Amino acid sequence: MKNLTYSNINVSHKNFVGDIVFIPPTINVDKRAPSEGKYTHFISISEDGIVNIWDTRPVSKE
Amino acid sequence: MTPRTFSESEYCHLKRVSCIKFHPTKPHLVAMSMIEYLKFSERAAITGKSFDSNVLIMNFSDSHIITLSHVLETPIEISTIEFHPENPNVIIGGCLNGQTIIWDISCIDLRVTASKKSSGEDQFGGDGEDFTAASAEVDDKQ
Repeated sequence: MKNLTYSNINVSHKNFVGDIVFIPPTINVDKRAPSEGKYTHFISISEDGIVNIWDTRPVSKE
Repeated sequence: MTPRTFSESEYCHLKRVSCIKFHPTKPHLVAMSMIEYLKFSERAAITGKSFDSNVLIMNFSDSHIITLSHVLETPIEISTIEFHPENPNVIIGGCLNGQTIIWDISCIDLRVTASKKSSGEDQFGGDGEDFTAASAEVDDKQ
C-alpha cells in the first residue's frame, strides 16, 4: 500500500514528529471556513518546538 | 490467559515499534509503525536520509492466528500514527524528518499487490503513474 500524499518539506517540521491529534469538530479553528461538525484539522507537534495545525480539506484554486 | 505472540520475518526483523494505535471502529485492527533499531550515534550518522519503512496493520479477529491486514509503505520512518476519527480508512503518520504522510487504505489505485511487488521493473511504469497521480494531488493541496 503506497501513501496518498505527504506534506511539503518546506512547511513541515524540522525534527521528528512527536504526536498527531485530531481537533474535535466543536472547536472552531478557521474563522473563514468553519468545520461544520466534521474533523477537518489536526495538530502535529515536534521536537523542534513548533506546533503545526493542518487543514485536511482540499484547497480550492482561484 | 496466555499471551499470543506474533512473529514475522520480513517486516519486523530487527525493528522496534515506535507507535501503536487501535482502529477507531474495528477494535480487532491495530496499526503499528516500525523503526530501525539503531543506537544514537548510528542514527545521527544517517539522519535526514530516507530509506523504506513500513506501517503494519494487524488483524486480531481470529483467535488463533494473527494476520497482517495491510502493509503501508513509506519512504521515511514513521514516529507516530493516528487514525482519522470519522473516516478510519485514512491514516496520518508523522515522519522522523518532520513531514506528515497520509494513507488511504480504501484506495485501490495505490494498492501494491504481492505479485506486482515481486515482479521487477516491467511493472514499474504502472507504479510511476500512480505516483504522479499522488503528486498531482499534492500540488492541488498547496
